[in-house]
Amino acid sequence: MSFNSFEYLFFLPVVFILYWKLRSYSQQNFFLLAANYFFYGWFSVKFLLLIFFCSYADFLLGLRIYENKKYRKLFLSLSIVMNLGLLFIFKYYNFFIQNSVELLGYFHLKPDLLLLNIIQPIGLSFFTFQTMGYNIDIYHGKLKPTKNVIVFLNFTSFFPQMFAGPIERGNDLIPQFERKRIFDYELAADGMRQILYGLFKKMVIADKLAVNVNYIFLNYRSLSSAELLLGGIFFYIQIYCDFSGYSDIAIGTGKLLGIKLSTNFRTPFFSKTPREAWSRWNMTLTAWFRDYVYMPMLYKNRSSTLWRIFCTLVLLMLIGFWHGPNWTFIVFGLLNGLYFIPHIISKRNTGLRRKLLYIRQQPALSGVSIFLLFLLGSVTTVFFRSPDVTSAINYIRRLFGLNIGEPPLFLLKLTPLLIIFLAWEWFQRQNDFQFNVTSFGKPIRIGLYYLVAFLILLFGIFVDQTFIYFHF
Amino acid sequence: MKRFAFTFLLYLSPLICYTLICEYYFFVDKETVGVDKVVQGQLKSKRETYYFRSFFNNSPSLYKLKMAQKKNADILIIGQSTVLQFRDVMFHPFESSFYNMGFSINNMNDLESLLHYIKTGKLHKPKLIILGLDVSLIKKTLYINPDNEILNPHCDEVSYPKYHAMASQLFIKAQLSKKTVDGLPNRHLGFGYLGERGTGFRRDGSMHYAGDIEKFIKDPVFRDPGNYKKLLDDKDYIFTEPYEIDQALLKRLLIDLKLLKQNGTEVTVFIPPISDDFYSYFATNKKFNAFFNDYLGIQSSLADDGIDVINFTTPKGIGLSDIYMLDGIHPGEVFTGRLLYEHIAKSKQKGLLSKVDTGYLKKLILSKTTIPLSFMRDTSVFSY
Repeated sequence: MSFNSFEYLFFLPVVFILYWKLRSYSQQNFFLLAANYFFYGWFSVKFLLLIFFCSYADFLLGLRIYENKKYRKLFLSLSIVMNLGLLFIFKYYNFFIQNSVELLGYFHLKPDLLLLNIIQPIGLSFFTFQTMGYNIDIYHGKLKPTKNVIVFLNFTSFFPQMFAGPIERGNDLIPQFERKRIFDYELAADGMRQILYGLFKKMVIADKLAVNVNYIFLNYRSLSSAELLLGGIFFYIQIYCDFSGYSDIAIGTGKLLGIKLSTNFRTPFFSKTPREAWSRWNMTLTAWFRDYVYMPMLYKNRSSTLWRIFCTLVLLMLIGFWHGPNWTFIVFGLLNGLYFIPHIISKRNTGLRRKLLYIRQQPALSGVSIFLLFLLGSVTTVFFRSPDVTSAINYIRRLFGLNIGEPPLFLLKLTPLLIIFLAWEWFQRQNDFQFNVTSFGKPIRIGLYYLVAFLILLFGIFVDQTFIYFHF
Repeated sequence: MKRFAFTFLLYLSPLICYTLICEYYFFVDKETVGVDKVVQGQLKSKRETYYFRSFFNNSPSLYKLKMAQKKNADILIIGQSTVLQFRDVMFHPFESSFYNMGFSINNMNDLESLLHYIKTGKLHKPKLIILGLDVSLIKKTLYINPDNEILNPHCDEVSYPKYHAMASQLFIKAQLSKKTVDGLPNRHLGFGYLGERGTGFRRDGSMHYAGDIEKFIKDPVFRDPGNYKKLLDDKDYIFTEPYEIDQALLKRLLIDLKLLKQNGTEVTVFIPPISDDFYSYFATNKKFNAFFNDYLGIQSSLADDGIDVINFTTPKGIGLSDIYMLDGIHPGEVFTGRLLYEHIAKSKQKGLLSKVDTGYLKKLILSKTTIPLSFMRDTSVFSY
């Protein structure tokens, strides 16, 4: 069941009411676990069993890593191999096989390698990263493992964030399951606001844009540069609204149940540098890679600028590849990594650093850099959306071919809505989420609730639109 | 928690009101009567009833298949919207054993699934099939959904809340733009917004265009609401390029028709007519005209294979004018009746079709109540 489905509309109130009727934290946890597994089982009972067994194995391994000092490295390796193995089999195996066959083809070899005809369990990339992070933290002594298996299973399967994050850390989430949750009116109200705004972003903006984006990317060969540019911009906004909309609903649902999840987006469109943009986009994933991949790599030779550039490129390419087994994601990551290079060089170049600092401090110049970075992001996401690298290159080549063509009137119809949306996001940029209207007077606040609710009812897309990040 | 739940419900109440208002109107217009109930209702009703929703999908394939399975018709009309004016009254004395499945066979996959249903006994084996051979059956690329709607028909939308939400949007937009049909609902007349106003699928599967007939009575001129000229210019809808006949599809069609004949079902292929206005317009479009001529060439191929064909014509071809057309590509029922009458009169075939009472059909055509678009046979339940 998806957050924007009617099934969820019935599921959530039932869970909410029953959950808050329970007296002790253990009852709450048992019930929550049943709700989590029901939620996941709605998609696939078969994969639910897989998730359960892997979670249980990780739970046991976590305890062993903590207790058995001699073999803790072995147990950690087992946990990582199991989780990455799952990811490899379900997500990347066919990609490697196909590329190996292609590579061997250059040497006139035609190996008969088996391709797997399997589908990927939903949310696998998020689940495996969360459990791996848990065991790595135990290994480094940053986290004491929980001995309560129900708490741990809730940690790995908490339904609001199970499918598409935010990727939580054991230190943040587990303690919340280890104590009784007491209903907090303000927190729940805040959660409702966040859910409402998330639904608006997903159903009104992302899904409306999806129709145009699909059309443009399907017919890019016959469209003008202006249309292709709009296609890139629309997709950039679409994916932001889709994913941040999901995160808002997840975090809002968590708040309804008295659980605080991590912020995952902080108005990334208003970043002045690529580094800032990545620290505000899919924040929990970026932080995961930074802490568990980038920093350990970087510490091997921190003083070398070249090494830092190399580590950054690897980091961004891995983040790209995490999204899916396609070269488009790797190129997407690589390009984003390349955009970091001026920033890295400026660390050692005082002149350049001053210039960049000056740009950031001047309102007009920082406005220009926000705008240019937004355009750069829009063009780069063409790789994210295209089915293959060749199509993406052809798209971008045509985009820069300056074939102005006729004004894309049907596409421009959506522009006022998007401008209002971006202006609202700018206005709300300092908040944890962009519908924090508690400081407004009551009549305005209520008016805004109804405005957003009726925009969803009147213009939202209600059928056949899953969240993009479910595929990852 | 109680305070929160109470406040939330209070906030929710306007949204619940919105939903209830929309649902009330859907209920009043019988938009939300499920296909199964529509089928039951139409078959039980002693008077003519019409089925056509405005805010929910009609699920025509699902509806027509269910109706056909209940009717066990010996005369089955299949094809798209162009065959919808074949009516039971034209096939006297076999009215009770007639069903028109028009609007449910969109491509070869649909056709073959239907034939499979007949072969396996899921659908009564008809004695006569009249197949409307639209270009979509044999054209290479099509705008029309290529999915197999007979095998996997679109769901009955009224059973799913998400479609109610979408229907509510359409309803509100229709109210705001005032794009509604005049007239109050008549709850004895049919199912669905248009059904209750006299437009929709009759019990025999044919289509009653009450609104168009009303307009025609007020102002008897030819109208082209489909605006097919623009669609042709834009290469849109059924006019998407390339304009080529898919030989593989044609081959499949010929095999299927021969198999039907071998299994004892009489087959007549109906090449739908086109208005003179549109025919002369597309004659200037070289590419499409060439394709259309190839398409017409199929008539003789079929005849060579011993398949009975109601040949292509325009209204002028049989001494009528475009006012007998509903629009550029849809013949009215009188025109369809005339084509059938002349075909039976000329045909040397001996079968069920030859037993149709052409005298009755002629009387119907020449009746004083008949107007170019309609036999006006629905007046017992609907007055213009």
